[in-house]
Amino acid sequence: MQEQYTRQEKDSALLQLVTFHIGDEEFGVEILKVQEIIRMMGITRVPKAPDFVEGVINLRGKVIPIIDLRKRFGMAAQEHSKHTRIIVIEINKVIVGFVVDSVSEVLRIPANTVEPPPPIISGIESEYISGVGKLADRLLILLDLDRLLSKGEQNMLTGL
Amino acid sequence: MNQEFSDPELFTDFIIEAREHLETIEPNLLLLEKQPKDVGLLDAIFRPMHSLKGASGFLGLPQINNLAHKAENILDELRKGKFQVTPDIMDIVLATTDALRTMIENLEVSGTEGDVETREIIDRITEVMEHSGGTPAPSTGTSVKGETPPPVAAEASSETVTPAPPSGSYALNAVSAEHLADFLEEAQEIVANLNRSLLELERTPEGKDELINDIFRYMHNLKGNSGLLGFLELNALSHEAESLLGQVRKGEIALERELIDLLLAATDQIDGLVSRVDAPSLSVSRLDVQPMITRLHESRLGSVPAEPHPATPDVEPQEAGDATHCPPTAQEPLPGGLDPEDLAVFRFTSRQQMENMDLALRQLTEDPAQKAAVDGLYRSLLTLQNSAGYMGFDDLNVYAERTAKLVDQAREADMGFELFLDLLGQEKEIIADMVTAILGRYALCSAAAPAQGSDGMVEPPKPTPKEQPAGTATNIKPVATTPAASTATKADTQPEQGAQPQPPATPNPELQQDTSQSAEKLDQPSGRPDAAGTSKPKTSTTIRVDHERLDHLMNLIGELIINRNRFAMLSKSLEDNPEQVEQVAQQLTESTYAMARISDDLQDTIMQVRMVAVSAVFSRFPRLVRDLSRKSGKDVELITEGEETELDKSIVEVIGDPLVHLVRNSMDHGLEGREERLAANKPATGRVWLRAYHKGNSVAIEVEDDGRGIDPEKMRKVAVKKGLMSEEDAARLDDREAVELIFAPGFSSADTITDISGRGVGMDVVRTNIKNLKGTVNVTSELGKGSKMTLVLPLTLAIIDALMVTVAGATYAIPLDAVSETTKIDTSILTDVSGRKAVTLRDEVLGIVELTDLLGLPRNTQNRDILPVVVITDNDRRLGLVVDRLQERQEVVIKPLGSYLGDIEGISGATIMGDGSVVLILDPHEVYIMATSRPGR
Repeated sequence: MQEQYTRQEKDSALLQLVTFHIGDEEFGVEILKVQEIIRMMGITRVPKAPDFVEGVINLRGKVIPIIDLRKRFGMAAQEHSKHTRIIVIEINKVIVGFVVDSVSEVLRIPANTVEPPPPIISGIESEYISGVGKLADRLLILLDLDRLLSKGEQNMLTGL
Repeated sequence: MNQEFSDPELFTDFIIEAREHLETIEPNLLLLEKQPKDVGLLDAIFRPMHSLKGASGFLGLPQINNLAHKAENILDELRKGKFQVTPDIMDIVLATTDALRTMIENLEVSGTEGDVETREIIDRITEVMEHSGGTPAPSTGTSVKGETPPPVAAEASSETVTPAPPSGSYALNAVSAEHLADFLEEAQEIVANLNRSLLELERTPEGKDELINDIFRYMHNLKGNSGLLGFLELNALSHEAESLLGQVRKGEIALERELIDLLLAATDQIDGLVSRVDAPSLSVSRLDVQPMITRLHESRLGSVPAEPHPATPDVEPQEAGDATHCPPTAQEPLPGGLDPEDLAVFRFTSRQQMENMDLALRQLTEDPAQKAAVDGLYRSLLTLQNSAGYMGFDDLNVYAERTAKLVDQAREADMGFELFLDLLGQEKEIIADMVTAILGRYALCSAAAPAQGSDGMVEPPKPTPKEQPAGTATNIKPVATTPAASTATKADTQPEQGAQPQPPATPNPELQQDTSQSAEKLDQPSGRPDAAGTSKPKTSTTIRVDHERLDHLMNLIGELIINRNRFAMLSKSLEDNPEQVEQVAQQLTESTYAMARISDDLQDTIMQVRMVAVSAVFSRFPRLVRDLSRKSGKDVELITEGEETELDKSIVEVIGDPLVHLVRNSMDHGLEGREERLAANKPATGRVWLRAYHKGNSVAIEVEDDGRGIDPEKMRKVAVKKGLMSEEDAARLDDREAVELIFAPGFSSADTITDISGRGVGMDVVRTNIKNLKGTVNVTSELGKGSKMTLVLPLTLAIIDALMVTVAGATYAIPLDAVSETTKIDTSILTDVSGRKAVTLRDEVLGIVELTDLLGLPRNTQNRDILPVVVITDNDRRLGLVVDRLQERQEVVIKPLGSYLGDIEGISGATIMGDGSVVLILDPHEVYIMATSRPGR
């Protein structure tokens, strides 16, 4: 019993992340927020929508917006390849798909290896970053999706 | 005051029902004001109020309950003619319904009644009641104040099990979840039967002794079952009701309408109790049923001083042994071909079994642990059941089976049998009654009825009280849920069926809270909270569906499945014989046709299911108009037309508020005052029309008034004054556009802001709301004659007819309602009018825009001589959209773009094509605005 308890406690201090690449950077998002990961599919453009909104897709009868994270973070556009994926995220009943260059793995890292974000990481506004995970051989940027979505929404509304 | 609802469905039902009640009450109240002498109307008001009281009571909503109770009292007095219908009283009753509505809306939004000041209304009612034309109404007086304990004396039936105050829950005595499920199922059945029987009894009260017996038996069953389970409240309630019915059966109490009302209320409460059972945990949450028990009890006691009714026909089966009293008409049809010999055998068997049962019960009374006696009892019941089954006496068959089951359960549960002795005694008696009745019916009243004499032994004391307490006698007056009331009968709490020790009945805490509530708001009775129809986080909404439609749906689903199998078959046959392609292809086509037919039918039926009449919304307007008319001092007549027009429920639910805005606007701004009207040669009474009708594939709702109309000149001035546009811009507007300025945000042309409207937020909100429903709102007005607002709404939100077009390589859908025609235009006839393209089409100048320009898409660079054009209309104005290619029309299912994308200009939603791709739906209204506001080039 005692042993199990401590193990559980240890587990809870672990972060489960889905990691993906955009450009040279590797990012992580909490696995619980990820609804699914799908391959690239035909995207319907939405005229008059903000530039980073790639368009909308049909996800099993639901129409969901697709956001190009490259454009969102102001990185150079890139042709979609066979590795390109859409990560479908649901936060506060809002479902949004993010286009990423490739999805790499599901990872567990101890929460205490995550450090607060430095002011600037390769051009991404640090407000969308909840922290930086230090792995043995590399760094992982943890995205704050709640903020990304709500901030995005705010921008959209003021932009219209 | 946080109510915990064990059953959200019950709660939702209550809200719907309460709404319906109020909707019945209000128009009738308004009618009553005009026809104060109409007693039928009063009845029609009294009943729903009564139901509301009952329902709120068992849901544990003290404020609603209390208020409805007072309203019921005053209505009752009116009904009895104790005083006259006066505007003052009407105001009070209307204030009551308003407060009730507010509380119900609070309930829906937040799950609580909220802080609604009911004290004042209650005080006013009390005052009116006390000054009622010199006729003292003592019973009413006391119950209104809730101070004096009702005259329920301590000699109330010694068997009464007083339930504990409503707090928490307690475990039931159920053997297993299955057992409990059986009980619940049966209880629901009984409740349904009770309702049916009572209603039938109400319709034809004469000569329905059989029916009364049925009701008695139902109650008795309930009592037995609940006792076995240790379901205290239900047991106590059904016991009291049974006792009352017992007296009715004996003719000691005349069956009057009040009594049926009371019994119906009791049934409602039973229903409520049953639904409080939490099956998984085998427990039930407590509920205060004491008020109902007290009422039942009172009506029972109250009846005693009345002389036993000699007039009541004495045809109860119990006395059928007396050969002279044959039931005049057999209620049941005779089971065909009854052999007299069989009947004789049955008579013999049943008598023998009854005797056996008597014996067994007697033995058990002496020693409850005698297992042999229990087994004997069980066997007797089984025999009886079987023989009744053989004879086709269904009632008896079912009843004996039920009783046998009860015994069996008790036997297996290994519970102390002494608890059931009383119960079984009564069961036995009822069975004896039934047997006697049956024999009496078939044996031509021969004296062969089984002996009845054994009741002295095992029967419980008859619930008839020996002496009646003095006090409010014949009045079956509902008693408020006062703490006093529950303590009065508490004195003789005597756990009967192995109930746990009862905590003493403490004063109902909620009630105290109610009375101590501080005065806060709701001093304006007409204050309608705007919460209605906006956010409904707490409750789910439900819809009532005609059973036939459901059956039809079921059939369609059946066909669908058959069709699906056919597809599977076809694909298999293609796999097996690849060369049969042609044959299979043909069959495939047939199946596809069948599929199309089924899906069309499915769509139609589902649409019908979702449709409700707009009268659901219109019904609140007579009241609104009355209040506004009183407030503003303008005489206004409301004329509603086309209430039966049906719309999708989700639309009907949300058009209420916009319509209220429009009607208020008409009354406040549109209609002139009396003098002004007379001066303008108009009738003094202003008129407002509210009408609904079908318009193509949509429904139009109009709010029209014969007031002063909208002055375009004034609108221009106001717009400039409010800084909405420059003077030049305003001058450039044509009259129609000027009138439409009322929809601009921040626009209000009223000189003074009144209580009713004119804060400048109304009309643009209306337009936004209607737009969210994929509808449009337009205004037409003639100065001095009046104005008309027209809402055009789609029949349903889900599916529309659309024209598909291709623009810049992508497909778009244009709602067909907005398309007036499609045409091809030769580029050579295009002309430039003030920087915009136009064409003269059938003597009418039509503006032409490239859709690609509007949507910011790359322009078609091909040099085209012929342009495909879609002509759209928006409020009778037309606009030609140049597209790349016209495609077919198609029914599309509307999907929202989602909150993230929010409002995209010119796009109202999306739909999904057969190949899974997403197609955007254009918003013609916005497209029009975009085209006209675009700087010409």
